[in-house]
Amino acid sequence: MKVELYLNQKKQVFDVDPGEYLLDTLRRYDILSVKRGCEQTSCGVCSVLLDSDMIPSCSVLTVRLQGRHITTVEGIEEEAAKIASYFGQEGADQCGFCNPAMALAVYSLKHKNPQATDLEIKEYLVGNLCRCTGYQSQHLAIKRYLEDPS
Amino acid sequence: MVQGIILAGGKSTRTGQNKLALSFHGQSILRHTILSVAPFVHSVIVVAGHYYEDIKKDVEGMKHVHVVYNEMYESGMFSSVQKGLRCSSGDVFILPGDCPFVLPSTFTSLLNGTAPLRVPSCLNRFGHPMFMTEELAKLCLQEPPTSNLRQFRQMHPVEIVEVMDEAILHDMDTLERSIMKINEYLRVKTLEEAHHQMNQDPIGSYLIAGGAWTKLTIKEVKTLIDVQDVVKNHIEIKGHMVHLGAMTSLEQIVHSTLLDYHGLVILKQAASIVMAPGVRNLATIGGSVMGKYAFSDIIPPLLALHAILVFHKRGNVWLQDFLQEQRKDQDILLEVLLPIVPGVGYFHAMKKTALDFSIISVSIVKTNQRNTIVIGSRPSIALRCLQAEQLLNEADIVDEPFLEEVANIACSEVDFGTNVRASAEYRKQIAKVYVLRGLKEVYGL
Repeated sequence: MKVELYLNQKKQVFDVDPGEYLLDTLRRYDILSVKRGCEQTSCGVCSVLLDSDMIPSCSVLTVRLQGRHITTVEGIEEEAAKIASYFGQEGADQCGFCNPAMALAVYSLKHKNPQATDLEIKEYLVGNLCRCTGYQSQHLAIKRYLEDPS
Repeated sequence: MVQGIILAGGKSTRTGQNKLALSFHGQSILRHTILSVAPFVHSVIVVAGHYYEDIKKDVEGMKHVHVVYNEMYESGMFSSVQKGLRCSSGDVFILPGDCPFVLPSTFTSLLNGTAPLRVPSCLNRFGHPMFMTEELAKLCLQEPPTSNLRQFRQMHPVEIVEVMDEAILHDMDTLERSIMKINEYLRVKTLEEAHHQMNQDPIGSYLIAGGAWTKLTIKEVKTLIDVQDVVKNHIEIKGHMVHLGAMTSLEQIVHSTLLDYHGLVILKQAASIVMAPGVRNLATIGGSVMGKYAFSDIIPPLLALHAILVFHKRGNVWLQDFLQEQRKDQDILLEVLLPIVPGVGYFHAMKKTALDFSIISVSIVKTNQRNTIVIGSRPSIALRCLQAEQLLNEADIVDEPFLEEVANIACSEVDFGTNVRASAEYRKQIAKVYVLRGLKEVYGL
């Protein structure tokens, strides 16, 4: 089936099986920043933005998204660089597997709740797992990014 | 008495040969499957079809194993299930012949369950075997042979038994499949179109809401009906009711200011602990209700708030009645209505981690008219504690010893079960603590 999506603001037509999940479609079309993790909505590494909301792409059928906007980390390049810089400064980065989805989550949080408290940051990112860092340094980096007025 | 029914009627069209005869560690796959279930049953019935003679020869000499021939094997797996049930007596395990490595602990956990229908789950996915009591087996035999286990399962409350056993997820076919098999996708423009399709092919059609739990329940569907354009996804107040469109996401509920009043706030609290924001953006209130999921954190507060379901054809139905009924006709949930009654609420769910299902949940709503106590994640479907409620409603003086008595009665009148998260005894003790804590909170003691 043909499905038309706005991927990172660009209209694109995808040829998909009706049972195909968005994660598989994106990776098949070489959007490899969207990682394959648990594939059960638990780990968050496949997160993308659907319109402005974060969703796990492993559990959304692509065929249902006709005409919708999908944003991956490639679509927020400048902000992602800023987030990466804070992550680097705080030593919040090791293997990097969770980073693209984490950057999208942090970007989405800044849009929805720029004044997020410590608890709100933790609650918003509860579904983005990182197996390397223990979260403390990431938390500091996220706070610095939220406080960044630019 | 428990018997094992092993489904071995298929033609193995994918492998082009009798896959159950394939050898592994010196024995056929089918013999491994039989040996896995044998310690937990009095006898095993193997339902064969296309390869009847080969299978009979293969299991020759195995004690308490009977091979029966399903004349209707070409009409599908459900006909083999029914053939097996006709040849059995007592409770049954139903297991495909190509699912050989289910752990003993999984069978034990299923036997320790309480509901008439039990399905094991691992990594958030349903697996094999299914456990069915004799009483339910009789109902299963009344279904047409062209039906399927999924549809039968949807008509009855299912106890999801959590196990640490990935083998329950894999038969030899699923190893080959990585996507859901959908023959046709239908994004309907009217409710009538959806209703017509569902009733034209009630077995092959599947109506999808948010789709957050689809992977958990569905592997194959003939027509997927998408109602995103015709069912509402917003929250509004009309008269003395809060109206929640069935496609309202759990994240919308978390952020709605319309639910900040009276006992309604417990629905927000419950929604806010469902997984993470990403999943809550997908999961809908309609899907949460229609799935009748025993692990649901959403159903218990809705029960406590006396929610009313609005269906396309049937009109209004109390949630409590809906959860107990076993209907075959297909309908579309349009809205969930919550009466606005001055009062207070309490919700608490206990989880091991934020992303896990609850070990137990307690929802209490106190209004001037009545008190409602609901215990969820028992781990079976949520139940109201009717005797405890009555005691509270009739009480003139409420003090701490009285509330303690009410909490004890509440936890005696519902059954608790054991699964990988907690034992029945633990659940009961914890439930008592939270019911009492909740009652004290709503009574201001």
